[in-house]
Amino acid sequence: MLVTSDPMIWTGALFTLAVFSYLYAENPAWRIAEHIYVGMTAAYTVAYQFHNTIKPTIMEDMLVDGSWGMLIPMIVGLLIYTRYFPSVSFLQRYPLSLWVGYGAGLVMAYAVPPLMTQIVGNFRTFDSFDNVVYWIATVCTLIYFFFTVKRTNPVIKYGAAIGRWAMMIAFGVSFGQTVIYRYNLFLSRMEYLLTDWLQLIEY
Amino acid sequence: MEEQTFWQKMMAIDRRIIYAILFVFVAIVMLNPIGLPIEISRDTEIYYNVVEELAETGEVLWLDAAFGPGSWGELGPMIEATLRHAFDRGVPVIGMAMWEQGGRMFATALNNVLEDPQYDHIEYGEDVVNLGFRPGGAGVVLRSATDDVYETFRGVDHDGNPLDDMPLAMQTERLHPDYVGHAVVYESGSPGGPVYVDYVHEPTGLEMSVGIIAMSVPGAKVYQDAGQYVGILPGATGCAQYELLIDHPGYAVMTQDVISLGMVFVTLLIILGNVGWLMTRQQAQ
Repeated sequence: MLVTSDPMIWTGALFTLAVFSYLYAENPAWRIAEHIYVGMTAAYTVAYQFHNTIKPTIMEDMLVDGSWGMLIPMIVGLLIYTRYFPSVSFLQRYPLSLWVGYGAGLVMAYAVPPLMTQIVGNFRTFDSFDNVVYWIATVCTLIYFFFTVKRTNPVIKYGAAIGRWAMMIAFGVSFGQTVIYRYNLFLSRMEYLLTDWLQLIEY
Repeated sequence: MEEQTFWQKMMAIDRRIIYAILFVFVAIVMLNPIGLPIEISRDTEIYYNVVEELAETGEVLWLDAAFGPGSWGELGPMIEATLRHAFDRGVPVIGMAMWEQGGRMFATALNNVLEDPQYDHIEYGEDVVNLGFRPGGAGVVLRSATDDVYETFRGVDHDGNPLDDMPLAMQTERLHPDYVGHAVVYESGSPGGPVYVDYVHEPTGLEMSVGIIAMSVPGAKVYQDAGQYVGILPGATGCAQYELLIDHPGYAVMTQDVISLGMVFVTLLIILGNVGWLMTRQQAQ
């Protein structure tokens, strides 16, 4: 048989076509697919987090291993919901403060050394054409952002102009890569329709 | 009413016509591949050599699926090709996921590869393990590197099976050069490769590479230039080259014709749009 009889693949194919139908115009098929997708994603996330975090923390860590200290972060975490009760809503700041502090500490401890490595990586020997271009583009891009120096100085003026071109080329490359990525997403669904659903292609 | 010029008509063309042309064009090229030549890039060669070097040392390859179903088209085939390469060369593989749906992505790729009778000899638990996802993002990676993989993943794999029965998982105590030879992150956003740079590569010295979606390639180059990434497998194009290197052309190779010709089509549209804009502006003046 040319078309698959697998109901799961049929479901995937029909939903794919329903989403594609939005390209023509907004319609009920698209809206059904959109709502089901959002609903299923939310349900999946809640169920996954429950079974992988909340349930094992309570059933294993606390009830089996006796790690009752877990109650403290749990209670602190639940304080975030006090925002729905105006009289005690100030309590929501505690979990947020802890979270921001944790994030800032983690970043300060671990993110600086890699950044320094990248800065050092910009210092290159002029042993290849690529490295010379790289150096000129980097320096000129930095010059472009010297807003405290007047552009009448020829070094600043022409350096900033080259820097502007360097950035425009970089943005162009990023845009091109983004187009390819989006195009690949489309190809992925086309491949699904032609291979898995219609079974017109074998590889 | 004034008659529209050719360029005015082109500028006002209904975008749905372009979608329809692209849809038909892609279907035709996919069904009738031309077989345009695929040149192997230096980046793909470096990535290929990572697995080859692990085959000589016998060290573990650690893979992280940091993406969801939306990026399967580019990153899924990369994991499949890497698993095939690793299994062919006897490299043990441990998979995990920083993204919630990444564990499922890795499991799908692994199942697709293990369906091939060529890999009937691969034993789950001895040759490959899928640790799956644990909530915590960067924290999970940091804890795996500094503390204990077993504890971090609560002693179970993606499907909830005990790691105690899996020799490979029990031997790999930490995400550290003492236990792992190389880490590869397949990323389509954040958290992704930079998390491993910050919490694994810099503190422990573990070498790492990334398999990334095409739009992230320019950003990843900074890390490679600084020596933080060894290899970068860039998008479906890089994956197609890799599939050829391991002598197993698959989905990525199949899409290369349609990507190349599609880009020509899109480029023509961009040129047409710009020329049209200039012409209509001239006429307006």
